[in-house]
Amino acid sequence: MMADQRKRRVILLATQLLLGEALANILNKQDDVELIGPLVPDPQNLAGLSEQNPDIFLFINEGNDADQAVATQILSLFPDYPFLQVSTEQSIVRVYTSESHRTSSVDLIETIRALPMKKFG
Amino acid sequence: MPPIRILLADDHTLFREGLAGILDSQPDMDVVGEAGDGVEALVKAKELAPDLILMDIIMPGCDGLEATKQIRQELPDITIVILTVRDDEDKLFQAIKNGAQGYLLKNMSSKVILKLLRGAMQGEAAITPEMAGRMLEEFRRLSHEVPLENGEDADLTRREIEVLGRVATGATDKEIADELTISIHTVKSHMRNILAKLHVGTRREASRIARHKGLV
Repeated sequence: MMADQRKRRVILLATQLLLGEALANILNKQDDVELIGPLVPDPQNLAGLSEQNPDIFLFINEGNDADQAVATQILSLFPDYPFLQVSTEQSIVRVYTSESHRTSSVDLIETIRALPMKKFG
Repeated sequence: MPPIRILLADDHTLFREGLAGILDSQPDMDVVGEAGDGVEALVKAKELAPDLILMDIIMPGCDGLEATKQIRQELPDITIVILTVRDDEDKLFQAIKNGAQGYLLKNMSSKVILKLLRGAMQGEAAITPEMAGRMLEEFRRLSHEVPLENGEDADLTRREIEVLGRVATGATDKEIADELTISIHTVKSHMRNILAKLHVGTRREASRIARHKGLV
């Protein structure tokens, strides 16, 4: 299979079992995704996850101290991997990536425009 | 036997979709509708007349506890089961008082949840043995309510009494949160309720009543 045809390997981490299963239900239906998990994150063994050769880390973050610590650890251990966090408090996904993009003014402006504006006052 | 017709009420679109996929894959279950808040749940409950509503608690506008109360008042034949991330016994007791047939947590596996939902449709309580234990404890406590100095009933929950007892020992919110394994936000919420129920304005006054009542 050619590199650009292979499935994206996504490691799904979740402490809430049902939430992990719910997301897995969606991802398992995608032809271009190979899901690893859902796994309950174990802070002692996170480093070993790279042996699964993932393309992306996906973490359901409840926003509590334990989950924030896991998120920080993942970012620290795997700085070169795209890292997606699904918040349970809001219906949002946070995306962290060290991926390089071209730096033409068009790319820069498009990136700026794609980001949501903060509300003041 | 016709499948159980289910309405899902949860403001988290992604999880709602995923959960609908899990439920729809069961031969005896059919997700007939989805709602993003309590008001929409009430409207869709009237429209769709589902057999079962799976209700989240924290939703914008009308929350799941209030929606449960309203739906049970208007449509008493519908079974409502709370499905939440919040392992909070005050919410559990409120949900049951408002007419919920169960209280399930999102940290449970789908296998356990599906079994409890099928039981709920047979009239069983969809709660874990641990939650059942807490409810029995609450019933026992209700038979020994803490009276206030002026003879009124304080109507403190067991958790509020636990928090108050620790406040009276001088514990900080952080220490109480750690000891009871709840968040500081929850401790603060309990404190607001305690002050209101005891009709006092400060922790010191609340502590004095706690000591007077032998809670410490």
